[in-house]
Amino acid sequence: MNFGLIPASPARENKMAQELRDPKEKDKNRLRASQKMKELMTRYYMGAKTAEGTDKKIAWITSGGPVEPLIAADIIPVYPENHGAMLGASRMSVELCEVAEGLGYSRDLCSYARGDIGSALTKKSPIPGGLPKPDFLLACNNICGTVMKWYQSLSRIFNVPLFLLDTPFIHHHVVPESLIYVRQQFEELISFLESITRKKFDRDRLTEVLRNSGESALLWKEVLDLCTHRPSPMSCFDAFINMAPIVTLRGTKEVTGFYRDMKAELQERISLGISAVPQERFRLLWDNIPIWYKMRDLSELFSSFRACLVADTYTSAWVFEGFETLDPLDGLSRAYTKIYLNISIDLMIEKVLNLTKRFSVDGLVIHSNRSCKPYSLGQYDIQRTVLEKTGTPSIVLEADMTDSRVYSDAQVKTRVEAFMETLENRKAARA
Amino acid sequence: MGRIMEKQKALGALKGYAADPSAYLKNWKDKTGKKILGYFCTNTPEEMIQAAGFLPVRILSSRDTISLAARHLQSYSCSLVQSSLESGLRGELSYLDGTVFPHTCDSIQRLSDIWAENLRFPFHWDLVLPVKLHTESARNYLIQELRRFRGGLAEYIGHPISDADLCGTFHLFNENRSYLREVSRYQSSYPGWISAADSHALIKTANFMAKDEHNARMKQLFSQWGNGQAPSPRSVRLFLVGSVCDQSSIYGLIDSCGAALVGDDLCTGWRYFAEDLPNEGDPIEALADRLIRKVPCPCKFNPEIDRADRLLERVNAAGTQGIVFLLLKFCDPHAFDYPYLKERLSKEKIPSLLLEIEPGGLPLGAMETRLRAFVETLSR
Repeated sequence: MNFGLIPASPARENKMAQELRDPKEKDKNRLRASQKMKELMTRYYMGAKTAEGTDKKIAWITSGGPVEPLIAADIIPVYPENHGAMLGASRMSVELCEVAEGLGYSRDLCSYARGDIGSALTKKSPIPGGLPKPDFLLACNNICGTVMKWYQSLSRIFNVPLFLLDTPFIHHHVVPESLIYVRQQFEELISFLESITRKKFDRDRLTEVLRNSGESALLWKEVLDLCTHRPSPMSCFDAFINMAPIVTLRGTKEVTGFYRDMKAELQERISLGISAVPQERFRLLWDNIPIWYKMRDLSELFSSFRACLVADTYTSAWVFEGFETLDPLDGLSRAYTKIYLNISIDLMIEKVLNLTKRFSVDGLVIHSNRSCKPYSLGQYDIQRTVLEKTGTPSIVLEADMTDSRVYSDAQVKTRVEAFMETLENRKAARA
Repeated sequence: MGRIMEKQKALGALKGYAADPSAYLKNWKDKTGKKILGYFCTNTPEEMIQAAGFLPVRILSSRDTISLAARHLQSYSCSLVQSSLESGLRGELSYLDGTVFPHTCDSIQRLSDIWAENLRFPFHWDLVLPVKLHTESARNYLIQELRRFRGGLAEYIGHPISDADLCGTFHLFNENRSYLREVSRYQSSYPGWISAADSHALIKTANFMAKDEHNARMKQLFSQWGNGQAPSPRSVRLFLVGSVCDQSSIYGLIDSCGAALVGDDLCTGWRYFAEDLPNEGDPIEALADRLIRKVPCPCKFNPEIDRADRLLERVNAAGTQGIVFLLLKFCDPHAFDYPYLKERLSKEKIPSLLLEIEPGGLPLGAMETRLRAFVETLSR
């Protein structure tokens, strides 16, 4: 099987120019983690495919969903959103979206949902035969209301049950009643899993899995934090690619090992003075889900202006906080309720301001993503507030995470050029 | 003949209000000196707002141009979200003293924050209703959230809202809902006897008028109506499915195409008034249970109810010949349900037509052409 589904690491691609200038840099500039990540993900998808049709249970789960109870119950989690990103990166998305559109799914709906529904029906996928068929579905609406609707469609397509974990949205502060509600649902989820596996749920095992999750979330945070270093040892494009394990395999020992190695590698790069972007001049922050089919182009475009995207609001969403409590279900309730997309705009602004400061950011690159309303609506107000409070300018790129039909190369290029000129003038004025 | 003329006369008043809700509301405010709370979505417990001494008013807006709101919202948000914010930013909602945002969809949820920050009405409340409706834990949370809402309103007005205050409002709303269900009954029993545009005016006014006043008008109207008459045999029986529609021009199209509206499954329709409240027991629990029993909406999760089954029951009972899906473009929850509902209708050999309401003005010409063609196919 060929799992060359994830695009080549932009950090590596970006090094091309640098390598040409100094051939000795060549080996040092490759992010070794990306290769290991490919192997890890290949093993994971092969394992999941092999389990199809056996006694082993497979669950499809949303990217912000609580995977820990599944892992504790020996259920294989499969992530349609990760698959959606693969469809985008391998440029299969549009064809499969069109299949869903043919059935009446509006072109205005989430392109992960459209692409995955198209793939489920046609079995077309970078994974031969498509994702392994689920025994049940687990949707957590902490990232959007769309996942519930999408999974309802999947539930009808595969004729399997859907468990919805309902995490009330946080406006300004957490309401204690909502955490009680979420905790009760974790009890319900455990009973639901027991009915699926016909085995008593092992709560000690859950504690252990949570410890792994907490550890890998912390390591992931440390990995991302290394980009506060100037120059940054990797860009958010590398983070987008290497986030796959924290999304899909958190809770397992493999993931902690992977991020421990990745952290060491980045520390080594810092000590050797290797940067993601040669002669880094500008430090930028990315907002929203990546534009999966344009990762390399965008990485090169920014790189050509010596601009490095050093942080983003997306990958840090998997830095779960709250796992570390005595009661595992309390920890799960907290961690999965307080996720970035489940909070109001004022709290998002707080986070953006914090990232801007910590990563010494010169400008914001805001992807206005037609597929993702909870991520995109409010961006204009965030943009204005950040400018007012810190003077940090930003650019809005109108696009879609996997539907390339709404992307315009020329428009993006012109806008980025103008933005970089603004940043250059700003720098000159300050000098 | 005299009876029809009286019907026209009584309807006239309500149609006048329907044409200009803000004139009515400003006048009501001057007259009573009371405050007005706007709200989104039929899941808002209007009874609670009324019990706090406010007039609950559904925010519906359909503007032809969007300019100020474009600084805050992307073009891919629905017409309700864009138009409402535009109206707010233009000061057209100045009669409001506050707004209630129940949790419905991703767009409304984000609109709430943008609204609070940029319009700054004295009162703002996010009613974070559960999405699940079928479990005990969801019901408990819903009850807690309704209590929290009562607490928030009480804090704003400076005195508690008792169970008796709350129960005291129920009859007003139950009475109003019974009149609106009667409109529905007329639509399905005597197709074409009330025009689509007229029935829309009756329902639209219920969404913003003071209930006592609306009830009095409706009572007057029904005393004049008596029993309907036999339908025109040639009118094609249409049923509307979708979210919100406050544009009378769309209803006017149904009339001008010679079709009869025999029922609907809309937020500005059946889902608003189908379910009543009991007059006994704990009032907060009663409000919670009403929301749980309410006609399923695509934003809510209840695996025990199939929305298509419920819809087909009513569609068939009304002798429907064709369905018109009237969806807001960029409305995700309804767009996700559309392929399934359409498939189920096709299995029952019920033809359907999809019309999308885009933000910033209706393409009425194109809509009319498509609707006319659809109605003509059905009348063959």
